[in-house]
Amino acid sequence: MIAADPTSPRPLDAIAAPTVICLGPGGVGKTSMSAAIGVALASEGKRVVVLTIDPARRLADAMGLADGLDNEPRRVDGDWPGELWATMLDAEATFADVIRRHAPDAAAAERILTNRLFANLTTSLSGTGEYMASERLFTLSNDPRFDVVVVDTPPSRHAFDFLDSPGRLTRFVDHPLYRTVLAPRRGVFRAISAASQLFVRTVSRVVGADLLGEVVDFFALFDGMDAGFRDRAATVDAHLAGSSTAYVIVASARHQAVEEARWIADNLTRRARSVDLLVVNRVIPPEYGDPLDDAARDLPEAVLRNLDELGSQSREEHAIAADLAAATGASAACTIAQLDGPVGDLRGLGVLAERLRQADSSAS
Amino acid sequence: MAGKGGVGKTTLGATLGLAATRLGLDVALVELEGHSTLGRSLGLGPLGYEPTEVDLRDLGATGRLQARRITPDEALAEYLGDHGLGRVANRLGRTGAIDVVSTAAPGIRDLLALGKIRQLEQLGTADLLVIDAPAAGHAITFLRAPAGIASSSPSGPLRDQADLALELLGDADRCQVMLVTLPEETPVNELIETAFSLEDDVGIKLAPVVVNGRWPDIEGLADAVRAGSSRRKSNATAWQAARFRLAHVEQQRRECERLAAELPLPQLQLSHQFTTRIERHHLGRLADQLTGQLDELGIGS
Repeated sequence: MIAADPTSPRPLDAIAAPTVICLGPGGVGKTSMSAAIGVALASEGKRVVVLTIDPARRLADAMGLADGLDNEPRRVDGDWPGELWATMLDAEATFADVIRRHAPDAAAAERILTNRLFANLTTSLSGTGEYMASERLFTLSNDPRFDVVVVDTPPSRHAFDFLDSPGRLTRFVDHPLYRTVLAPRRGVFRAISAASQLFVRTVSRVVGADLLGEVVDFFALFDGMDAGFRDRAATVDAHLAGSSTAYVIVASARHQAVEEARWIADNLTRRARSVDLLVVNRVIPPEYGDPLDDAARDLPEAVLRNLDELGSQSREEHAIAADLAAATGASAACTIAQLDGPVGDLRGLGVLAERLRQADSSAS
Repeated sequence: MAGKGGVGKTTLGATLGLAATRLGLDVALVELEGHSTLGRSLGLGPLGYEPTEVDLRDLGATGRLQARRITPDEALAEYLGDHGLGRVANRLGRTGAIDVVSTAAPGIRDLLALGKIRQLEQLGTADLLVIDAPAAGHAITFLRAPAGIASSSPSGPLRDQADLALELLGDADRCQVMLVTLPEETPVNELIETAFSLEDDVGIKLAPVVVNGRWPDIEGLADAVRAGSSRRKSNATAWQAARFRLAHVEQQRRECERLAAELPLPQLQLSHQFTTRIERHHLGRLADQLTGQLDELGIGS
């Protein structure tokens, strides 16, 4: 078990901020944990909205999101003093809003939105979905109906697309290829270098001239919108970097998940953001690893064997969790034991939320 | 190998690889993304684009096993190099031009990786290629990439690559997908959805599904719990742990049954290892289980 430290904050107090972002590897119960954090905060009287990216069917049902994609938050009824709302990201609708906001006029916006490549952009340009999630988060965080926005993110490999995404489209339109192919139209970069021409020729040789032509047409539509994107990106980025955003890493005690969690922590640190809370989820209940007393000798063989197996895994898990807490430099850390039954309904979320509220914390 | 993140896809790839080398086959393990966990589970460091030879003789391997990591950027660089464009190849990769172009042609990255895999297959590099595919949702996107590109580009080098990849994916004698899951609700649901999507949209043949991490029964545990009610005043934790085990095993059993009922494919089951880290000696044990069950299905050899 991660040793309790009375001086370190309670897990929920460690993430007392208007925006809480949950990061973590796949398969550790991150989406459920994000929802449980929402329930826990609502239980403490907060008005919370949980922004989820891709919830499992049952969780979506539990949160009243069964009808699928919808950018409009829905209120989840429950026995808590605060309020719990849930919403799922509709990347395309969000992107359309972004385009309408930045386009010089309605006609220009329509030309982009009806372009065949527009739909591709949200699904294929790496980081676009994440960019939309950060846009949505920023909008929700300015919504007076909510005290706290809790955000679930995609599994770790894509999580940093989310954090870096405010600047993503800006970098995209700053890309040398974009500038090169647009140069003749813009007139600004009339002196196209020989190297650039070679560059374009090579790209067109690999992907075909037709395709490249379509890309050029599409991005020509974005011409003149750079400044708007840049300003917005800077604002969202400042919000994600500031003290109004808390970061939670959700991991399990499996070796692979631990490695990924470390990688996430390193990447956060590199972006000058700290880990406010580490949750090591789905561990074997720690007491199963406690040494047996004398009376245990009378236990049936099968019971002892079970205790031996669960106990040895549990001891390994708690050692690895303590190492991880130290390695991530988390302000607070806790382990959450596996539930006996499924988590993905409101009752399961309630149990998880209660465990989070009661959890002993340790500082690293 | 395809499955949701965290279900043990990589471990299964290594296990299947080991089982095949024990039959004397030469195997190439290919990792496509992630944090190079394949290398670590084989006791190696992170893998590179060039193959690394893995010595598994201590685990009973008689065939050779190579492991490598294929990235689209490197595959493109190699493709360009092979076509006399080596000098600009580096530059394309370095500047992220592929990111820009893949906006117009979703799946160009996936196609590049598939193209490289197909090349390895054609060169007869190994008797068996085991590919650690991207996590579930991305696996579908990955395998759909060639069809998407074939439908959007009428001709050109990309179209040719796409046609060749489609031929490979559609040929059950050359290529099959092994779906992996844990016996838990969410990964099982995802596996079922992925299975139907792969069969219907991609038209790819599915191998038996693999349920990883099944907690084994302990003989006599249920009886002991039933009989032990009078003694539960002492050792409360031990009895609680026993009930925890039984509940977990029962829930996993239900998930396996549900999977079998909803997806008519043979099911292979690998047992949970009570550790936080799968090491080489675990791979040996898991390969035993896999071989035994494949034999029972009559596809072991």
